[in-house]
Amino acid sequence: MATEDRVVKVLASVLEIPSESVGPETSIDTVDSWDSIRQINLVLALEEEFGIQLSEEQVIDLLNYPIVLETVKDALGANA
Amino acid sequence: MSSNTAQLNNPSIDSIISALLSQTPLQRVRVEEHLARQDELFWQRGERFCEQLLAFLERRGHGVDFAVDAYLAMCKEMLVEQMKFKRTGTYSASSQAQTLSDVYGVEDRMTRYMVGLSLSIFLWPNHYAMYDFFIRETGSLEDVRTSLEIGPGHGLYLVETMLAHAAVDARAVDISPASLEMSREMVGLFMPDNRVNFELADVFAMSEGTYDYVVMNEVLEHVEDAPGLLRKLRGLITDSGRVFLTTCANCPAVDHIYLYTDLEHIQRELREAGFRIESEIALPVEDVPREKWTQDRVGVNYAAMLSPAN
Repeated sequence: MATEDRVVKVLASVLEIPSESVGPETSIDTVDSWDSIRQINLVLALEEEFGIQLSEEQVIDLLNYPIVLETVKDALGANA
Repeated sequence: MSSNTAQLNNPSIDSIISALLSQTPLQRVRVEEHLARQDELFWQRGERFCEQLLAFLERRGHGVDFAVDAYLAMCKEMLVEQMKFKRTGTYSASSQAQTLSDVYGVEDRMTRYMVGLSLSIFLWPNHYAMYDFFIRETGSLEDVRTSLEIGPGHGLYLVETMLAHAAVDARAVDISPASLEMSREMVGLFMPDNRVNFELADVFAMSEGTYDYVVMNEVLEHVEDAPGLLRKLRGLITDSGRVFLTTCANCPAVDHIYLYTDLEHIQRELREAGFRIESEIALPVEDVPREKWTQDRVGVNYAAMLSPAN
């Protein structure tokens, strides 16, 4: 599965929204269920899904789909 | 956003909430839901407090933006600490010497922290519930002639004690100069003629058995020896005295040291220190069934009215 698809799957699972609704516009401003607790769960789920390590400080930055995707790709690149 | 009534009649709290909601996407929905549930009494309390808070800030050349920034900075710090706690199961601070040098002894940082924390009383359901519980419990006490508050911070609980017991001889102690100054000023704004004795002091150095009522909110988790502090508290009240305290389990923050791992851990240490729990509330920060709180290390806010066990 492509990285984009796996990020979509994680976001959909953590935020409890349909995968089809996840896209470039998906952000903390457009998804009501995206609160601070789910934000922590999102970081942990991304780490588990991709086997990456994000910094604790990144928990306050990953606030929309494009940033999440870019961060995961960067982390995967760093691990390569 | 608050109700129309609030917007019309409560300019101080509404100005803070309006500025804040536009900048706090992680909390927007929860805060809006919380505010939508509130009654007129909430808005009266919130307006009264925010009016004094803005007056306190104005003396320092600050306004609503400072209050909002302080709150958001505190929330961000807490989120990072929660992230660390999820990974390690421990709090990142380990000594009072560390928190004193990093937080309590740094005036600007401490003031910002106290301002942010004070707003959480009206923005976080659990903090407001504990504040409301405190007002009811304190109001139900009789013969409170002497009181001591340890770590009064923003001063709101101290004000409520004096509103409920007008003739009380009140003392307030803190180890943070900045926090104590904020307490003194905030109480002074609420009650210009108050006669509270504010002292920069360590509770462990105080004499025993002299108070009808001791209040210690959100302090236990900030010390290395919480059981020792509880035993000290037990010694500070008269045989018919009461202690009101709040604390929390699994609630990481930059200056939290003593980790209560679950609700039972808190209750056990209260009893071991010689207290009877007269009344209590325990509020999870996540919507998780009670039987999973310990296993999932769910954050729990706790408040209790205590009496001597014998």
